[in-house]
Amino acid sequence: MTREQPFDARIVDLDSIADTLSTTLGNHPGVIRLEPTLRSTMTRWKVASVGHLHRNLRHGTPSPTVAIRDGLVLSFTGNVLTLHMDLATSISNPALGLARETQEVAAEVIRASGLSVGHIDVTILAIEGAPAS
Amino acid sequence: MAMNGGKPRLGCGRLIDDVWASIDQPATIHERSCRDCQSARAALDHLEAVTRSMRERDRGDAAQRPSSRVREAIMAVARAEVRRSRRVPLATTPLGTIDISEQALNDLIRFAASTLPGVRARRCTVLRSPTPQSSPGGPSSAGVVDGGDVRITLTVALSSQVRIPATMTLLRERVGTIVQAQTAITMQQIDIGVEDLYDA
Repeated sequence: MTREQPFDARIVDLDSIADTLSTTLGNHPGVIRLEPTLRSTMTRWKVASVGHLHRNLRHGTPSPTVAIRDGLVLSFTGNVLTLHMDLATSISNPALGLARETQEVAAEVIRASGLSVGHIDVTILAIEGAPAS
Repeated sequence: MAMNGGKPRLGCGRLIDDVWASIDQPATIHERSCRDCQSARAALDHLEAVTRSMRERDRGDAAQRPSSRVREAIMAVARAEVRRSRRVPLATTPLGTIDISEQALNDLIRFAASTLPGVRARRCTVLRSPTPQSSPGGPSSAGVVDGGDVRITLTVALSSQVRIPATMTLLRERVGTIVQAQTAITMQQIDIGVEDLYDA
């Protein structure tokens, strides 16, 4: 007998999802870059330090519940992934419409990873001229 | 030295923390006559001197300094952070909230103004009317501006060749149109100050 639903116990590679989101969103037309903030940078260092300690001191601990990339903060609770994005967008695209698109794109990536989509909040931190091509 | 309530006490009953707190001040009458306090002060003086010496040595030690790459990364993030300031909410979709930093809005307004011939945008200020709003997982509510009541003050320099009243009308229209197209914000008030005229 086969079972279509996943078992409760599962391993979530949050870093892999964060990398996919970073690449996909960074390449989305109109997104100039995902903006690092002091908050995300400090959180990233903190998460990396704690993760390093856990790897050295406690083998076999659960996978991390927070992943940080430039402009992205992913939080994983239960089976739900919550995301905050900080974007710099191109003046040639309406910023609000672009932010909506990135929400949809991020939601697709999260669903494709087999997780439930929580809040996807977007902050537009800069609207700039399009990079010279 | 005894432990009392988790804090070390000297034989005379004083907390060693109290001795440390006044280590940079002259000894009190009690400390001048108490052997326990004199001994503790001597030890703490030595500790303070060693700590100061190590601190000075680290300050001049190139190996203790962050690499230029790390320093540049920190400074770039810090500079960007200062510019970002408060957030203006734009929309709430089924997936979450969308907002824009006040700085991004200011830059957009200055850009919009500068697209008009004979106008050079200078400073832009979004007037403060904070609301107790927050977004889950997002920035704190302390820096949120009411997105439905955005009022700005813009200062500009104008070419001496333009007619000021007509240019002001065009400028308000231009700023309002571009901000609306980019963010869906309808400006409630656009105050414009002409600070300077330039020859062109």
